[in-house]
Amino acid sequence: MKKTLTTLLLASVSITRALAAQPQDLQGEEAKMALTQYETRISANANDLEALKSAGIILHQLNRGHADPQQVSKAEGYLKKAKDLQANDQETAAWLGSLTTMKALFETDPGQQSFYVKLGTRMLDKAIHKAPDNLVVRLTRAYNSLELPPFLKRTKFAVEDFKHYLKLCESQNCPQPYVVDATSKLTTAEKILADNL
Amino acid sequence: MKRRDALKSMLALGALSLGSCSGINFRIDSDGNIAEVELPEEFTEVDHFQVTHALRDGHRFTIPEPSMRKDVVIVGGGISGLTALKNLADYDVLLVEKEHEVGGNSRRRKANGIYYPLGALLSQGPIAPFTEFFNGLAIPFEPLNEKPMSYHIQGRAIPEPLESGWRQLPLSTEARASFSRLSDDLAALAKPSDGIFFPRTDNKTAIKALDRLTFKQYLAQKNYAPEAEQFMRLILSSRLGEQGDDVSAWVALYILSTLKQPAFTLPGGHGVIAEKLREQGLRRKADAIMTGFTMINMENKANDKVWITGVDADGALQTIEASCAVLAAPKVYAKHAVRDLAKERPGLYDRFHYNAYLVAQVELAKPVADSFETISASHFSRFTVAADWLKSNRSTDGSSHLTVYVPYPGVPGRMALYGESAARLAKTIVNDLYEIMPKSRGAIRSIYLHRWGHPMVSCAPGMEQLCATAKEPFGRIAFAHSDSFGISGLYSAVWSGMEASADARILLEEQEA
Repeated sequence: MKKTLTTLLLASVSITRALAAQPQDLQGEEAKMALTQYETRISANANDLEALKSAGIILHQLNRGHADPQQVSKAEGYLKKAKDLQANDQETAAWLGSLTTMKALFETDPGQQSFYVKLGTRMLDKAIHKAPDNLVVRLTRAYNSLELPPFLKRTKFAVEDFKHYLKLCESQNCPQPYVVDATSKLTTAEKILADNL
Repeated sequence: MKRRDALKSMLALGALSLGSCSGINFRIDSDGNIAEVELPEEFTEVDHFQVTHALRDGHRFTIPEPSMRKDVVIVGGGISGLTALKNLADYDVLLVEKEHEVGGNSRRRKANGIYYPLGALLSQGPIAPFTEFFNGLAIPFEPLNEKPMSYHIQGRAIPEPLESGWRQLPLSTEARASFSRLSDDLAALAKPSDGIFFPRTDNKTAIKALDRLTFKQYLAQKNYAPEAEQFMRLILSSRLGEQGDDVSAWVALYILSTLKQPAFTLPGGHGVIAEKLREQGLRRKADAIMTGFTMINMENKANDKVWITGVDADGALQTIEASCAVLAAPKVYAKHAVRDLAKERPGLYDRFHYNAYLVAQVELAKPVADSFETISASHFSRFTVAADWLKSNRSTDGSSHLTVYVPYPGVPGRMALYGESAARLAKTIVNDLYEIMPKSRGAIRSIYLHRWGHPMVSCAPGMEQLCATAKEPFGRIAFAHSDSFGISGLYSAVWSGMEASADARILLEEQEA
């Protein structure tokens, strides 16, 4: 009984912390717990914009390393709905673009793979065009461009976006771990770009 | 005297050039002399280049208002355009082709029960990532397991000079050793894991390094014997239409490394693939293809539409309005036909060079070839292919067929080809064959000369970036140049068609949204 109470208490603390953090920062069990909460909210109100966007972002992040077709499809549904509800939200557009490129992983036909990569990166580029100084949009395209194979010629955008992000952070209060990681990833991207020139 | 009779007289006298009339058939007697000249049924069968050459030379056409509307128009019915058609069949799509049939450089004909190629014929089969594509079309690739190539040098035909055959080459010990080293080097470059054989390798670093050099610069580093260098240049001229000194070393070595890969062909070459794609396209949409339409202008309009204007089969100008277009034709055509493209991409299109081939179809009374492909070190007839080397593609009456390819590199070469006396060319090829394949003496029945346009692109170093830039969509126009890998090849054509159709789908779906 005591153990059950402790577990419940810990879970409650974790959920509270999870919901307080940015959805893209959540990992592992915290992310899954937060996702459950957001999905419960979506079940209650299919137009809950914050829940839709957050659930889509969490699923995006959970699938970055090892993508699952069903989860990616579910995330796409959430983000598309969120975008329908708030068409001018470029952060949602960027997350949706990045998620769309993941769909190429589930295809065996090179034409279909190419379609999803082009479609997704085009969404990302449009989001950047409309919100060039949005930190989330910049980082979303930066990480996406870095994670795509170099032959797709997107690494130059990773360099551009990490640089722009770090420049913006000089006058804004960016989280220190973000700045450290962006600096490190910028070096990686620059090396890949140099190797492929 | 009727015009046809006058032309025949001129041909017999050797006074008519190949550029005057494409496709000329010479009957050959048993002594190797021209016995009769036959003009093609249709003078326009192959040569629809009059309109495109007028465009190249700056002729301004009047653009009429659109008389037809489509979701997407594909210009060019080669393998890249037909692949785009396959992927865009769910839309209101129209493919227009300047010839009277689709296939582009992948077409074939049949004579005496033997299919023979008009253009492309060699590949590495249904390799990844295109396995699903080719299997889905049920393409019957046939491996060339036995004697795919002979090298005719100093009066002898040496089978497989890059395999065990190098030991038999009538050359010095040093030169033979150089062939052996070349064989090892090309085998290393052909390795899927760390070679340069796109699309199976991820070794981009090595590819990039080679793409910074010309082939000539590469050769200067390697110190092969002159005889081995000559062999490489012959292979390149047979595949590229030129000897390759100034092309990207990557392109040159990519082509050479295919000699160390399993080789495949089809009865009559890649025409089989074009025919299957055509059948599939028409099955899904019976009116999806319009032939005899030579596009002369393509332009983005302010209303998010594209106008595609061409000369139709009746010689009338017609404009089609579409939500987007796919241009599946060579980059040199895009440069002249797409309004403002060359201005927006200054200098880009001048970096690509095109080479012409003379192609001769030779009918024989009996088989005379000792291998599928014969490369000659010293003859005008540079390489010869025996279509009936495949057991599935043989005549029932014992006759045989050879296709002879003669490269005419660059613009001066092309002009020389147009100015050549057709009768002299035919006679030269007959005499060459007598020397290269002595069994052909007295066996040649006819020789049909046609030319293969100028589809073979050669790219200078840095071609990867050049090709990538050239295939970027321009407004609502996507590009499916079949030479997007830097060479005009099967996989490049398929991949370009796939990519351009992806671009077109995005344009269409965004517009719908």
